Amino acid sequence: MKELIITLLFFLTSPGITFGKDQSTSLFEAGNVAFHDGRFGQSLTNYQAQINEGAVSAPLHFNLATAAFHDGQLGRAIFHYRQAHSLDPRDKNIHHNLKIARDEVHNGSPPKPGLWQRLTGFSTLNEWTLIATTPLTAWFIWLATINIRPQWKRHGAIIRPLFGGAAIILTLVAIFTWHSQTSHKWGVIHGETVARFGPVKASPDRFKWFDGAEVEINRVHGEWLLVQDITDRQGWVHSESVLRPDS
Amino acid sequence: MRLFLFAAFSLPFGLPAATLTATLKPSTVNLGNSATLTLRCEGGVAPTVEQTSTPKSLALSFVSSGKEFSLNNGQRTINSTFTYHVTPRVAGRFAIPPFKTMVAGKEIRSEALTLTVLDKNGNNTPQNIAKSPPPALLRVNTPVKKVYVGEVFPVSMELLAQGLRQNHLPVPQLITEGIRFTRIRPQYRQSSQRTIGGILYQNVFLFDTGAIAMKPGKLNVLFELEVTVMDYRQDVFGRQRKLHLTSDPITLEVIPLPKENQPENFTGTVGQFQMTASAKPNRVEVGEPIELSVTLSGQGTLDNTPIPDAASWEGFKTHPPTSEVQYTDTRHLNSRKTFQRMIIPTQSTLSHIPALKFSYFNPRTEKYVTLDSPPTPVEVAGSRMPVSPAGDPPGPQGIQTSEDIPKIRMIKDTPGHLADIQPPLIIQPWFLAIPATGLLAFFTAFACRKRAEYLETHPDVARRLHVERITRKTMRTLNSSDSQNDPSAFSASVQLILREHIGMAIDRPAEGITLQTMKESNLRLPNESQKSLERLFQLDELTRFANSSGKLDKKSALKDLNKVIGDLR
Repeated sequence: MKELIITLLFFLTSPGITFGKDQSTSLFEAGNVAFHDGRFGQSLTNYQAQINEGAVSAPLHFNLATAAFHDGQLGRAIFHYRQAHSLDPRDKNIHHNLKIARDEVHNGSPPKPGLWQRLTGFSTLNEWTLIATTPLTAWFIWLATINIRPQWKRHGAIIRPLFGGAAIILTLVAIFTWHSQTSHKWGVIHGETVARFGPVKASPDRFKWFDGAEVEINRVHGEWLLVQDITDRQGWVHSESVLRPDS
Repeated sequence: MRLFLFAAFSLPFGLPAATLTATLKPSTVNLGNSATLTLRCEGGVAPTVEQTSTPKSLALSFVSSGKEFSLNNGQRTINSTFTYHVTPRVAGRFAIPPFKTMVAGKEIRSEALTLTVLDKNGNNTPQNIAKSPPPALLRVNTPVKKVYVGEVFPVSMELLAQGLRQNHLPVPQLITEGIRFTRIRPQYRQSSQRTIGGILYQNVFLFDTGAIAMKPGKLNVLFELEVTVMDYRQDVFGRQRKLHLTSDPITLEVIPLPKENQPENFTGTVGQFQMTASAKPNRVEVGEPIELSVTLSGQGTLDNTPIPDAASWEGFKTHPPTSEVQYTDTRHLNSRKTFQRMIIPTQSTLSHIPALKFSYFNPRTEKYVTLDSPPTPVEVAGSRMPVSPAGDPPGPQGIQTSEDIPKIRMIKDTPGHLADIQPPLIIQPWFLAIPATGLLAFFTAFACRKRAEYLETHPDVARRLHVERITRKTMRTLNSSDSQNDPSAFSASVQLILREHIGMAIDRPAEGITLQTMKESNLRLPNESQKSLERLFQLDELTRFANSSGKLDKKSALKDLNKVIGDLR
């Protein structure tokens, strides 16, 4: 029974389930072989091809990021470390490498995560959803039961409201985490990029962002993005210069 | 020996004959300007050249001469070059006569050339021929006569034309070297038509711009323009003509900037300016970037002005600045340049960003001015940043080899659980249905409990609901064909409904209620209902005791029953 529950939880908290999908790892293994041979560009290509097939995992993003780091592509490395972190936020290797990559770009001063992200960042959104909905559903069923059998109302009279309050708080945490993740559109500058005053190529240069600068996307205008970095510098860059989770 | 003989015989035949070639640049000039005539003697040494005749209305002045030595297919050749300035005195087309020279005892001549001289109206006919006013005019005016090198000054240009035939308005161009416009395409405005010398110019355009003198000396500033207009001077219907217009020359004295008291950091900026500087943020940790913004603004051009610099950037790592120039007037005489520079403190002992210095020459006071921005306070926390030999942060390779810096962890051997990225559970309907089901169960149970409690405290409502339930159920039985074929069952069902309703009306148990009971209860029914009720009781008695099923009128009985129930309600 315990094994069944663990298996069920694993499937539910995974980023997505593809029952019956051919989970061929040949591209992943080819990427690993190329990486160990020092052919980082080739390993990048293999890992990226695996991602393009649609099936992803935290180790896949981690390996791609590490290959990009060794290939000198800091922006790509940070982007995929962050993708890996979102899938497996408790992996210490991802934390470690992401910190090193950020140190390369920001000279030891990576962007500080917000308070909410620090509080909830140790679990994925799906984990928070399960943590919230399980007690919430149990609480609803408990309430239904004592309404059907009022004589059972005395049992757990103290624990029941506490349990319900905790379930509601956890639900709010899950909702805020979801809202925080969907409203916060982030990206990583890929290659040295010129920030412009306006969303046209003819617009004069404002300043330059280095490869790996982490930015927030404030506006989208066609193929141009208005992005802002941690020092509140803001400028328009072409979407090709920014790696985004939805791109 | 054979080779020597071959060379000795072949030399006179192998050498090309000497030639004298004349070139004229440009072949068309505006009156007041000069063209350059170059005579080149190839294949021999020409000690001098001379004109075969003296041209009219042209002044030829010797400029220079020279010799060139070159090796061509192993043979050494000498070329002579003579340069003249050709200055016309009037407009028109003039022939430059051939020149001649002696080479190796043989006279050689150049070809004659033609020089076209345009007057200020774009005509190449002498002014005494063009008597009537031209169909287009170009006028230029500037209020200054004397400027410093690098100083901006306003220029106003006026184009007057009869029936301008152009889709795009041409912009007058500067043809004087050492001077440039402040904007490539000056802003223009159209003015009302004007009459000059009896000619009505319908199209009058005013161009407002500025100019900058680039080199010292006395300049004759000239502007030119090509326009296509309708010329009505010879044809009453007009004839389309392309005119080359030249403005009257403006004499301008450009003064060099004084050398004495010139600051060391002077970069050639001339005008009157102010400087502001700011830094953001002013509380950082070592290694965190600070954005330094410097703004220069005032009268003058700042196109080529570099960012004001500090005496020393010790303790900071600086990045190349970016800049943006904006103009605050249409002539581009006043400008504002904003610089942005990222600086990174490398020490925690820093307390301020160094003062910035900017020097310019003020043409009004004729003095150099140096502006200083005060040192910007900054608070730097943290430990000293490690500095690589090149002064830049270490790259990825440096990280891997350094023992002090943590090494990046290696890749994973297994890909883990590969799965498609899908929307989070929190927005998947099937998942949201799980707690929603629990919530629905809770609301349902709650409603049921509340209903039960209500009915417990309201027995009349409970009985009414009970009677209605029995009535609905029994009426369904009465309306079925099976019941109507069985008179006793039909009558029993009718009696059941009647008793339940009468019992509820007189507040007694339904069992044992008869017509007599009802009469004793003082229940008042309308006469027709009373009669219907009596008929129903009679029907029951007949069915039960007389077994008179054949005479049973079920349709009439149901009608009576509905009437009684309606009135009892």
